Amino acid sequence: MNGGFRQSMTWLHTWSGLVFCWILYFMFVTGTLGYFDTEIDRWMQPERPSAAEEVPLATSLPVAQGYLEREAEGADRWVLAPAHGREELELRVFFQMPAVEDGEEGADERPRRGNEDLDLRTGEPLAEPERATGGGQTLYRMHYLLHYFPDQTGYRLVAIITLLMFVAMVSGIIIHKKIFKDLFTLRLRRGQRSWLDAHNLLSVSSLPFQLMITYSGLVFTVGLWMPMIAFASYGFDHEEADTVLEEVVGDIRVERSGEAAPLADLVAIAEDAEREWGPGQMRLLEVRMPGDANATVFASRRGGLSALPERLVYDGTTGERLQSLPAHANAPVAFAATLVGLHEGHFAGPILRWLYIFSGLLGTAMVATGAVYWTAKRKKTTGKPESRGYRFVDAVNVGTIIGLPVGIAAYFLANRLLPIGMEGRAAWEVHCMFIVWALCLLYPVVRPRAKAWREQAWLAAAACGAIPVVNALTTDAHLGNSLAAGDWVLAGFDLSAIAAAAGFAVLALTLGRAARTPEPEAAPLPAGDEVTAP
Amino acid sequence: MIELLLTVTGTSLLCVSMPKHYRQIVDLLAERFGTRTDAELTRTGRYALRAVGYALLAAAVYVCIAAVGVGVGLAAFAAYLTIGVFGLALLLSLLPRRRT
Repeated sequence: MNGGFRQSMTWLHTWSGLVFCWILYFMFVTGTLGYFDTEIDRWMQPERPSAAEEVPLATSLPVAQGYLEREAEGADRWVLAPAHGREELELRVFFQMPAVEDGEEGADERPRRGNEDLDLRTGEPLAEPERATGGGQTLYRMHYLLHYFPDQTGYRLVAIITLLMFVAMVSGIIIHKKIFKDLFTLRLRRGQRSWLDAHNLLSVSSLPFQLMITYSGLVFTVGLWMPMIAFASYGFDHEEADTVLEEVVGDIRVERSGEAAPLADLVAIAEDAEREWGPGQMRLLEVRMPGDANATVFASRRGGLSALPERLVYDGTTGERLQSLPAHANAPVAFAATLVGLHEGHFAGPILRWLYIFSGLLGTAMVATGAVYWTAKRKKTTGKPESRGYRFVDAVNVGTIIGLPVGIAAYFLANRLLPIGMEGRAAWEVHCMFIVWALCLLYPVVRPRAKAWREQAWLAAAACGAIPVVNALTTDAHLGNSLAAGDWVLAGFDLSAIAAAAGFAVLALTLGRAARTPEPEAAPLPAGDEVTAP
Repeated sequence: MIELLLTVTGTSLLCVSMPKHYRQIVDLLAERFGTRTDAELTRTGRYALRAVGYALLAAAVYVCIAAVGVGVGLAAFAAYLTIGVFGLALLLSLLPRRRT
């Protein structure tokens, strides 16, 4: 029974891991890059500042308030977020107007919602940058929405793949009996055994991260997996559904009274919040029903592990502090928000952010080695002509494991090479990425796959190596200037591209050496180590 | 850096407490310094290495938490542990190979 159970788990691990492994690989690569989304944004728009100019709240908030009073009078909601640190480079405002039914007076006269970065000097929205780009945000969004799909479709597909990843992880732990013995085992140049060792080593050494990232990914999509729990309590009505969120996160509903009243001094409110939390700790102000007698102001605190902030609530007409809302209204929300916060990593400073990247790369390599092991295993055991399935998996492995990084390098190169001011420039950056990736997927179909691995590794090295070169030829933001100026965001990007190029070059050389050296016969795997192909 | 140092040392001691890796290390040292190669790891030695290894990991957890708080500290410790284990595994795999 025991052997049968492990065999079943092995089957489950193999197929739950393999079926969507290339999309999973895509999610890992883009998600890992997403931890440096704002740094990538900065490299792709070198004309923008690398860090926010720290401006006193007494200067920035009146600018934001003035804009919102002009452009969003009568809104249900304003958000005023002063510039700060690496993520909020500019003073940002958001507004949401009351819902208007089609045909009702006032419909379509003004935008229903808006999101603008403001120029502190003029109080007007900043001009669109000439170098239109998707930036790091597009890569980050691909991580959970994919691309070329409607958002909901991509999101649902990602949710399914995340669940399969979790199944693969749990079944992988079950089948890996000697988890602490294999932890330190990596037998190189042993064919399929080396791939299995590498897969085990990568999985086990980064297991806490992989479990956290996958489980928290599931928490993100919990509403998708278990919607009936909310429907059972609140019905299918949208308004009722909104109350779910309010009750769960402990929010306060603010109703419009219809009686006009001037807004309290927002600077005084922000300063009170900073007195409570410390300087620079207030992240944003949210005003609900501004201009109404029932106006309420929420000040949100910055930082922390949780995805939900601690908040202070103020009367929007008098500025009096009404109450303090904890980040978590109850234990389940605390659990979910902490996991989501861990997944997103917004709390992480530079060192921890690099550790996230490192763990993400281990996860990426874990998926890649698992996919390659599937083919290595069959290559060794069948001895028959390659099946169609084997050829397909092997070709897609080459085209994705190496081809996707080539595509991403093409995305960055397109940012520098597409004409400034080109129509649909940001979209074409992404098209370039997928076109190059598609060509990389076709390449192993027309070339012997052993050569395709090596040649694409060289191509990836060349593409990554070209990034700092093309950057130097097309902008002033090259390594010579960025290093001299101590601009580690720009310099770090170019240096990372060089490191990636070196990594792919080493891979290509290793593959070349392996091709010249006959592979030794793999010794049989000891009992208990074997992962049997179903 | 102290967090990383504690984590790497802790995982190294746990690694050496395993007979297989103890033999690897002894062979490496014997080749380099001409020390005895037949020394076996005693039961007491194994437990002592494990105890010190776990103690160092616990100290690393404490240092991480003291630096940045419980939540972020535990996340940072997990990340340092990943680096420690992965680096050690590569070292043990690649060092003997380089000598041959």
